[in-house]
Amino acid sequence: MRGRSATGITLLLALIAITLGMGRFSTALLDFDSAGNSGRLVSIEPLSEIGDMCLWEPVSARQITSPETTNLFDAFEDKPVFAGSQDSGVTADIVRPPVRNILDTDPIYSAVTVDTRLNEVYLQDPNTWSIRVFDRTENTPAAAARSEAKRVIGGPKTDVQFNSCVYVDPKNGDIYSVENDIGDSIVVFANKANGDAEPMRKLNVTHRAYAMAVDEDNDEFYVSIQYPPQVAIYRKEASGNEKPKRLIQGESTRLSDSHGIAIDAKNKLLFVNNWGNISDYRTPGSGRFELPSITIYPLNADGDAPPVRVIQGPKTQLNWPGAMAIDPDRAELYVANDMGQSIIVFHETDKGDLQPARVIKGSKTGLSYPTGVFVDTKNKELWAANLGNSSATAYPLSASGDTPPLRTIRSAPKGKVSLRFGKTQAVAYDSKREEILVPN
Amino acid sequence: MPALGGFAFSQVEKAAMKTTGISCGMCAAVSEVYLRQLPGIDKIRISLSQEAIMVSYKPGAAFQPKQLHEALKKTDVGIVQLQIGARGRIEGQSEKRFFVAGNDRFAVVSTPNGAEIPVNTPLGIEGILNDQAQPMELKILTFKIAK
Repeated sequence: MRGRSATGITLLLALIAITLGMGRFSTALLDFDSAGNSGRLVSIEPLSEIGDMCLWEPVSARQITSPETTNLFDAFEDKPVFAGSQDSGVTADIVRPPVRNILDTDPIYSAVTVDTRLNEVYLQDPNTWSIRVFDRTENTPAAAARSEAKRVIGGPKTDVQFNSCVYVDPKNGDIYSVENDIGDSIVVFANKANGDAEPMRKLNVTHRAYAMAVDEDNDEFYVSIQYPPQVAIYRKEASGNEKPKRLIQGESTRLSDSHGIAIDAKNKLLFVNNWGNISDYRTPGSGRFELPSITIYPLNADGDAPPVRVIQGPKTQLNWPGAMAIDPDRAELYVANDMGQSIIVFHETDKGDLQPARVIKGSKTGLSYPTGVFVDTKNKELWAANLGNSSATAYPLSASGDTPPLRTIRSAPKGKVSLRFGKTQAVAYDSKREEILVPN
Repeated sequence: MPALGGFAFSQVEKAAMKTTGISCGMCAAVSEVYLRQLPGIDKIRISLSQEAIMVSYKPGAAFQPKQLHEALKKTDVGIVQLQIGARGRIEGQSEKRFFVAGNDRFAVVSTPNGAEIPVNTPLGIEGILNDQAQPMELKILTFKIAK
């Protein structure tokens, strides 16, 4: 669907958002200049209620003359379908095998945590939908294709899909994992869970949950929701459809496309990072972009609470920040800086536009699109989960600059670049450049 | 769930629904989303031209027609007719016969051309279900004796 505006071409990206779980459709209207570039978000508007969407011509009304004698299953008989001759409305399985597949069969790692009691590392894999467990001291030899996990939690019973966060209870070893796509849940496994294990409990949470942080002193956990941006606080044992005890949400919070979350239980502070994509989907034209930020709140914040401090600005180097972790002893905040290809470290008391206290970045670090970070205060180590090269890397807690890792757990041949597929929902072919475009 | 000799699961394996309101891709997509959330659903196929939906169940899954109605009701889609494909067997006497598939029990109200269907023999059937009746009533359209 295309049209022309006074300033150039207006392209209606039709029906791009099927907001699963909300049952809503939206259209995004982009405005381009006459040269066809510099796309600007004009508005995101809800479409009419679903019932009004169809030009409804009830086929059933026409064909219902003798429905009792019609075997409906006949309509679903398998028939070959060929791309050049698809009939509109015909449903059939495509039985022709693909010429080739573009598929990454190796794990990629979105999150990392360490069970310091049992010296085990947990890696969250959103590619093969699993949680992989290794010895903490595992170090994949350079010549080896990969390290094999001690245990793999994965399979249809686990409800593990595009999960973006993993947490191990330091008291009892329970394993928590946050689903970031249509699963809309947090699943909890027993410590020794293995294979296609059913979760001990499952909490249904708001769509687009990204990360969690646990206040072990108060038996509560905090869940960041990307959009509409919010932090939901639950009882630690919450399950089923239990509602959050409180919500941090609203214009004053300055939350925007929230991702990583961390807690300093000692100083009673909550840290949330934000990508800066802001809109009220109910208000056309309200979309805007701000620089990424870290907003800091009192741990007991509730409702439309303003942050006590904000770290934001070009000096911060924040670029698609992912998971965060706190070193309470050094009062430092570690941020997995995905597109920055770095781990950046701030003082907990930092605010405004300032350089990080330390930056771990460079070709020797082994970092590649790091989205997960964990601080192991017991062993004085810093861990990163690398989405881009199927690895997790461990560093001294004081690492800075282009520091090589102490150890690397690698789950794909050395040098392999991950496809980094995640939640792929469309594909396009650029015939000019002969490239396949895959939005994630 | 007991297996019939040489027979896989005795259960409702699939359900086909003639619907009102599935006439565009979006309705189909949203309907699929809600059906996908039901427990035990394996595959979902939608025919826009027939305004029909077919779901298949995982082995051992429970058949719960009420959930199908409720899932589609969320998108204002109604079910005009419900058909099932199931594995099971006929039990009972000539006047009161039931088709039993796993934990489900259906009163047989007709067979194709009044055919006599052997009792206590593993069968695969397809038929029209009246899930509003108590017990649910089944008009068998086709049947096949399991080998």
